[in-house]
Amino acid sequence: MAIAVMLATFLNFYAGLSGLVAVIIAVLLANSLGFDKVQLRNGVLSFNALITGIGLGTYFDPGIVFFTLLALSSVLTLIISVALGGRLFKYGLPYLSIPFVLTFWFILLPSSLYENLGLTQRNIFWINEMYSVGGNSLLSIFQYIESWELNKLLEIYLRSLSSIFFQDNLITGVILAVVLLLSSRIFFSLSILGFVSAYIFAQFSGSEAASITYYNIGANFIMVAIAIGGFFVIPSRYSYLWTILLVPLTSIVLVFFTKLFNYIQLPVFSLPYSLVTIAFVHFLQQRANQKKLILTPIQHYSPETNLYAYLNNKERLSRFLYYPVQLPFWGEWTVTQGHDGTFTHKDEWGKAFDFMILDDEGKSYQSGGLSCEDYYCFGKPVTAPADGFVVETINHIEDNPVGEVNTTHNWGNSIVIQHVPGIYAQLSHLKKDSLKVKKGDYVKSGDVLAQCGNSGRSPYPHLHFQIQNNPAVGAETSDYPISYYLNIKQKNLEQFARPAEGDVVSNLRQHPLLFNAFNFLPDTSIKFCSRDESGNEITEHWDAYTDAFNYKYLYSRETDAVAYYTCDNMMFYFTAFYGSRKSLLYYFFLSAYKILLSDTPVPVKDNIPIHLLKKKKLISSLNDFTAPFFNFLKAGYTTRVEQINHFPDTPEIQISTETILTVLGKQSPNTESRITINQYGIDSFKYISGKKVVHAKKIK
Amino acid sequence: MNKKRYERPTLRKMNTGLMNKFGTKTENEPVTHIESVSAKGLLKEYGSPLFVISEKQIRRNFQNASRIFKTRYPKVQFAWSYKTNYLDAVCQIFHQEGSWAEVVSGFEYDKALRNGVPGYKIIFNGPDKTDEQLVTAAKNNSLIHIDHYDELYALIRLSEEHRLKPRVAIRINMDTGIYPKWDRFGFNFENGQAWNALTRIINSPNLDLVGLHCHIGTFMLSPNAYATAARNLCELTWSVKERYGKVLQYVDLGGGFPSTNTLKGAYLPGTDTVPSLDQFADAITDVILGYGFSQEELPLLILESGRALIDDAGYLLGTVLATKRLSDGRRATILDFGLNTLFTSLWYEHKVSPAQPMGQQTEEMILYGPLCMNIDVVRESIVMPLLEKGNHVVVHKVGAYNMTQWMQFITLRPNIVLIDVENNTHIIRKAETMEYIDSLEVVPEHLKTINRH
Repeated sequence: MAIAVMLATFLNFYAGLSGLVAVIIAVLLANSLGFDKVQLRNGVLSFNALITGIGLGTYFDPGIVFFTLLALSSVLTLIISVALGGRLFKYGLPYLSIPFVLTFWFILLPSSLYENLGLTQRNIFWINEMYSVGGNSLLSIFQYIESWELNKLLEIYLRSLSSIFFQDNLITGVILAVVLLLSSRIFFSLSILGFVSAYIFAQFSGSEAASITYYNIGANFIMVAIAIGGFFVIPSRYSYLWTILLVPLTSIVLVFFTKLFNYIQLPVFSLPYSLVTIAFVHFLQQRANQKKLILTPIQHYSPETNLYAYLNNKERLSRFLYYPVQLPFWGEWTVTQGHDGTFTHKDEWGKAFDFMILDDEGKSYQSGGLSCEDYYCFGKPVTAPADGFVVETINHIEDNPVGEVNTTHNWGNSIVIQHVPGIYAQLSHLKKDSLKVKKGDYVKSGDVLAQCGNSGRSPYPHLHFQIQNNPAVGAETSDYPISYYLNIKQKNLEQFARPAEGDVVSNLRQHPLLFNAFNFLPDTSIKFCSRDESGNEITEHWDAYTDAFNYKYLYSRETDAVAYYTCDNMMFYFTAFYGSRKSLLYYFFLSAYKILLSDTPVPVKDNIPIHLLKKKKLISSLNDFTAPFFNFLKAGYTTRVEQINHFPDTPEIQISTETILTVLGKQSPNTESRITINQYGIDSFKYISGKKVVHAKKIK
Repeated sequence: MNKKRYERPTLRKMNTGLMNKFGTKTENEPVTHIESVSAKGLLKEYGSPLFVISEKQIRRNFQNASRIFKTRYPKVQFAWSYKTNYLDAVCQIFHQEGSWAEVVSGFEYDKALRNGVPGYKIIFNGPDKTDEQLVTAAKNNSLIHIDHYDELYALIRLSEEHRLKPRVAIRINMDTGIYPKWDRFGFNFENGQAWNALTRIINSPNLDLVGLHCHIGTFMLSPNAYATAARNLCELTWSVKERYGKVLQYVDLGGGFPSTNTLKGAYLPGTDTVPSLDQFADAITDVILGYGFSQEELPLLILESGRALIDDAGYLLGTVLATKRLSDGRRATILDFGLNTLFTSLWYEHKVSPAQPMGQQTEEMILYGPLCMNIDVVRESIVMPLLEKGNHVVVHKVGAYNMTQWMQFITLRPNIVLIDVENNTHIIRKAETMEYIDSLEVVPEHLKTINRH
């Protein structure tokens, strides 16, 4: 597609050539001066040189002077780009085509002074030009297309697109439209939306007033639509609505600058687009909370990818904001009062849990329940919900006789643990003299702290558990989820949820074998071997690295593919994948998208961003069109431990996973995988998708 | 008005003493229904005598025990003791609840496999394991609990021959302060035999030592004994880690927890004297948790409890065949089941209830079985209402050992019925028939007719 665009620019041969030369100069220079390789590869530093080159090639006649000027302006564009970038990037703002506009002004305004530089007439005698480039055949195609009896609007649209490259012909317009459609359905629909909005506004306010020209439609209105509607903002119905509004706004700015710069004989080019876009992005950045019109958090240079990744991460990664907290006991307990409960969990103290042990008849005691000892929970171990320092303990308050409460010492015997600064756990109504820790002790998640008791404002034995923001006993509670737990009645795994009153809950136990297998340590490497369809051996080395932001990823040496992952004590997640969809790492990414590191055979469900899944082109393209408003395509992921043993020296553990594609509610299996784990880690994995079968084995 | 029931006359010795407000009423409450299924109906449908097992009670017992241990200790695993009751239906209830299998013979091992228990969830105990069975167990990755040196040597030899690395533990016997001391199984703790065996296993490249096992006795009435046992196992686990750097994965405390049956010779009924499972759990988990293991090294606690989980889920329903008066004037009642069916009447003073409403009058009697043997006594002395021929009785807490130790002696073994959680009844073992017995017999040709040629 890049080649198609390049060919389109070469329809005006010298313009295309100048563009190419300008880019090469900018890239070589930037590279030799040691600028950021990633920015260079993405074209952030060189795209202005390209437009400048094409622009210069369009306006001036080629010659020795021209090419010298071209080289100089390419350097100038680079300098301005870098300089602007240095200021703007740290605010998360783009410079768009401002370097091009400035450089072009520098050349264009005094161009008559360059005596040896001739303004070209090729734009006037473009048929000659075309003939010299492609001969008769190109000319006949060109004339054939030009002779199409097109709808007036369609023609304006196509010509506007072509004018982005300073051209005015249908063939370039068609090429660009097709390229736009193939590369991004969202960009394409936005370009039409921008165009229609511009056209209607022009009709409404008078096309002279709206300064409606092919160039302005293409390089300003359509560009604004694309930039705001789908690039800098996650595409949504709000971004589309704003697109409709921003086009007339750009028009006002445009008319102003056109009038103003007319006095000094400067064309405005794409300055209005750049200014409006930068201003609007900066405007959005200042909001206190982003609920609608989300600024793209990680730029994937594709609105579809941005959207799908965002939708997926919004739900999936928000949980990483929480410090993992587990239930403070062993075995199955019942929530007798949840958040904002009916008895005592009110107002500032609302986000707390009360737990008791109930038997199968729902009774909390045996033989009468008249003494504390009759209660199942009384005297049972209370454990640390997470690692941390003990910052407060009370251990001396008598346990109440059943039915009485102690309102003098409301909280009874209590422990407060600081997990991280600002996150404290309080456990209350503990049994007198049962505390096994003292102030200042460091406790590990799951360590026994004390026994459940009946001290304080507690008419019968129970355990009170709350998360709070400061270390005082009885501080205001904080709405905090339990990271992972089993909901016994519903037989499912709850993740970052708040158990509700009546739920029977228990912790999960980490399986050391699974944890060791998936806790890839940074700077280690694993090697997998597989065979392709024709029986050739494929080997991939995966190196585990940590990047500058402390994110961990696996890097496939042979294919350059990268898969980001994160692993807490209970769950392994792949969070992103970049690179070859033919690499073994890609298949492993889909197979082990999310793995529960526990021996509990509950299914774990998740959603995969659909852009990372292999699927039918047509359906996914259609979905791209509607995705900002409605996704009829969904990709679910389920994993389940098939066979497991309590011992770390078990020969192997099998985990089966599958992805299911849902099209308008109709489910169809997409991939199936099976991962085998032994005491040395991941032993092998098998990936099946339709006829595609990948069986990869670890090589020691 | 219902027709008054006729009650035969009885002669009773006059007792003098203080009056009390309870009068002479005894605890002979009739038990007309088992889990809301009529006892009379069951007997009518399935014949008499009849074993009845309550699935609901089994699950309740298991969940109760599970709760008791799992809220005290983070890693607990139950293994169903097959010998206690290896009816497939019963085993499957336990497996469904998450139990592994604990077996003590090749026969039980095969039964567990056939029930679908994966090899690595079978614990192979007992002194009787053939070479063939050891190899099978090793190949299935089962846990082999070694009982004696001869077995240890055999296992070392076999694992070399067959290039296997079986997962093993040793059974340890010790003085836990109870009488009689069970020292006939396993290796002794106090005299160093256990440590010697452990050293030998650790030094055998083909054996993988994964845990320690003990089973200090049966129908244990002292939680303290378990505390001692747990402490000794912890000490060995700790020593193995200290000396050899090997972290053992589990301690298996065996079973032996009592049911609430009353042992023969006990002065007070079992329901009043037997310690609760909570007390045993406290004794065991306090010791292990307090021993100083780090969280990661805390051993898995395996329990092989049998009797305590099933005894009270089993009932035996029977019928009075006759009543008579013995020479010394005592009343004797003859039932249609005896020692052959209710083997545990050798150990327990089983509670027996009438299965239909009876009058308030009671008399002391002997309950005999139907066998033509003098020792066939169900209860030597029991106070019951005035039973008559054709009356039905219910024997309580017969779930453990009876359905594995019963005898096909003089009579055939009766039906066993399971009442499921929705109170539907299912036959889970059919009454034996003449054909069943005959099918195993082979008569030589010359003995096939009575007339000698």
